[in-house]
Amino acid sequence: MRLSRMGASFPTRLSFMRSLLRRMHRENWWFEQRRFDLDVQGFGTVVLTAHTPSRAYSLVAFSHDLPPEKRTDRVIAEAWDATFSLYDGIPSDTDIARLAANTPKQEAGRFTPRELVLGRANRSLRLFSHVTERLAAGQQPDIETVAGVGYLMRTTAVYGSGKFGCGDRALIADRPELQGAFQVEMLAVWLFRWFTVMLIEHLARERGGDSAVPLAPEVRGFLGVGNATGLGMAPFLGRHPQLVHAWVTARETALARVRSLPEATDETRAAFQRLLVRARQHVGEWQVDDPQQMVRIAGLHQDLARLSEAAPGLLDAAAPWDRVWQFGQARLGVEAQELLLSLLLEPHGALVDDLAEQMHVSEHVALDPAMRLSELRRLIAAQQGWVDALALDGPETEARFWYYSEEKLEPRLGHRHAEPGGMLEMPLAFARDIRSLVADLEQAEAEAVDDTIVAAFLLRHPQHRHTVRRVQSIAGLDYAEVRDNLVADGVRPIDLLRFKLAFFGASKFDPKSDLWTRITLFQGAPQPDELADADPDGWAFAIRPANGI
Amino acid sequence: MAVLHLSFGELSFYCCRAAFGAGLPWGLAEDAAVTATWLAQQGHDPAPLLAAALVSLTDDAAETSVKLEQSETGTILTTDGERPLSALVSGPSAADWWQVMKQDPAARLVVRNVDLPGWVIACIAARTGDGLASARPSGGPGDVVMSADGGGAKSSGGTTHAGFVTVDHAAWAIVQRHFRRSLVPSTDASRSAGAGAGLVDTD
Repeated sequence: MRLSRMGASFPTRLSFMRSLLRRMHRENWWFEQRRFDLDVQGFGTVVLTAHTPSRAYSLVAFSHDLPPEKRTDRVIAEAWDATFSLYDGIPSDTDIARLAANTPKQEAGRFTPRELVLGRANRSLRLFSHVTERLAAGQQPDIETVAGVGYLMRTTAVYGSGKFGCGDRALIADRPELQGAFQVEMLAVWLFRWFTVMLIEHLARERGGDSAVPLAPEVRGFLGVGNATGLGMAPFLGRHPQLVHAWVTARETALARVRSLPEATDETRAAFQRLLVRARQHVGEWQVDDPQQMVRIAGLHQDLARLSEAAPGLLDAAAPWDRVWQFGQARLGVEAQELLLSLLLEPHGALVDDLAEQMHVSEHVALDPAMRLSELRRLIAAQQGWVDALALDGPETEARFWYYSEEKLEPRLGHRHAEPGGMLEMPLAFARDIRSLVADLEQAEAEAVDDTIVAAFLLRHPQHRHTVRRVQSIAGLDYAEVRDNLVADGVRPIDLLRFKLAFFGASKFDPKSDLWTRITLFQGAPQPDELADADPDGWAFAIRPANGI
Repeated sequence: MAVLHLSFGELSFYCCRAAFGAGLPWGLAEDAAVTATWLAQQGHDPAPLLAAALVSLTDDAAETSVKLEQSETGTILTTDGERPLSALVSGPSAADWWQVMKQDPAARLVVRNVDLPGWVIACIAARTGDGLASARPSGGPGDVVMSADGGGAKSSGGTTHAGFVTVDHAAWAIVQRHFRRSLVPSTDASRSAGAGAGLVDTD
């Protein structure tokens, strides 16, 4: 759980998008377009409904005219090309009218518990124009151009869990289909991806008339949904340590199961080799502007070539998957090691997919006021020993601070010694806070005539209440914490973002700075109207279709 | 009376940061959010009590230093100051001590001269399930007394699942005013250093 490794994460078959598609396929969900009311310019309302065996969920999407001067991916934006809500059930005309008055306002709107997700998105202008023109002229888009972007629209925020009056997670947490982490948000985004295809084909028809053609199935499947993600995701990892532990435990357990297999079957060996070829092509198509990431991608490419050479021999020996893993640890860089983990899980669905059902928890954060201070110190020594290895002295070790700006609550990362607001920082300086708590515990122990309890200690030191509760709540959870200093000079929030986004199932990480990244979601996945006849797991390491379709 | 519907998640978010904005350490602010959410889940509007407690704190009308005294009559949380104790500060400590003591049949906890006794009782009830029966939704400074022989009455209410809480608009405006104190003012420098800054999104 170090930032350097978290920042090299890749999606796996346990990622949330993958488990969602498996469930929908297994349970025979079906999908319908209930409303399609777009004008000649593509502005208007679309309602797309997903039917589970027992419920319905509807994406209510609005397409807008966005003036160029208002186009930005930032949280502080106030207008977008499209906005959407995921409605719990099938919305009436009255519901749609209510949403039409609120969803386009996003944070400034008000919602009800029937709305489970709120989001917005902007077009990729160069790809959107190119695809529209080509389809209108009866041609498919140039696949190089499509691959250069990967999506028609990118979401810039997707809110769930009770934001702005929407339904709390507690309202849906007992529904099997939405119990898993971020399943409802993933469902909304996947339906929105379908909307982007419908929108562009509509515009092509309006422009080209009878000459227009729909997207070829290969292109349609290759188009994902983009996403621009900034600092808002990072505090989530700090606020939900028990959940993060569950995610990582599932992944590590899956890896351990695969490594413990005594032999490889012909089928899994062939699948691994096939996926390795595909992953190399996928990485070869991964082009970004960021020079640092391009260096990492180049290194990854070389490492995968090395792995390809070694794999046949490794797989012929006893305990083949463990040997492959050990080879990775000894010979490959961290990006390749993380991708190798994904490759190892991929052919072993029957062995590991049940773990996807364990990636959610009912979080219980509680203070134990009766705990003796000696016990608390033992707990910290056992659990937070990693803090001792960090340099935490000197101004550079707390040079940054995380905060919410008064400007639309945009999360920001300030410079503590140069900007105001350090006193209002979010509680993400875990290492520093642990160190401070330990110092006061030692002092209390030196002063006390007997071993007092936490309740008494916190009367005198209320500033440690958050840290004590956190320490107690994650006792025994080895993967709950980021074992680094999140306020040090040089901290890269993007490492936290990539870790979380990989669990979502995102690919094609495209860092735009240390603070934010663009990604692609659902690239290569079946569209809703294709799912019934598709392999729900056949889209790992998406590669572009051949040109000239 | 103007009202506003809030999800429980939203309520928790704003209440935590409002308490933090009022100057409480983060851990006590978390307790304020837990208490407010628990009240809402029981079907009560937490905004009037919380607003009064926040104002008491930021108007410097309450003591924030809690002192523990042990006597023959029980455990006492009090203060050396002349003003009432802040419920936002003493409530979590009262819940701590009641949780520690409640199994003792002779247990008796007194929180002396609290600015909002109802909030302290709600804190205790949110943590232990005891005391709701004696909670007062409003009222001025006073003592809170919990005893194992009856004062620690069991909560009768289960969690309601309306999916939202309706809050008094005026009281919520006060909570929001304190919430805004938890936000860092935006400057040209911070704006231009934010994630995505300077980008022309025409790709």
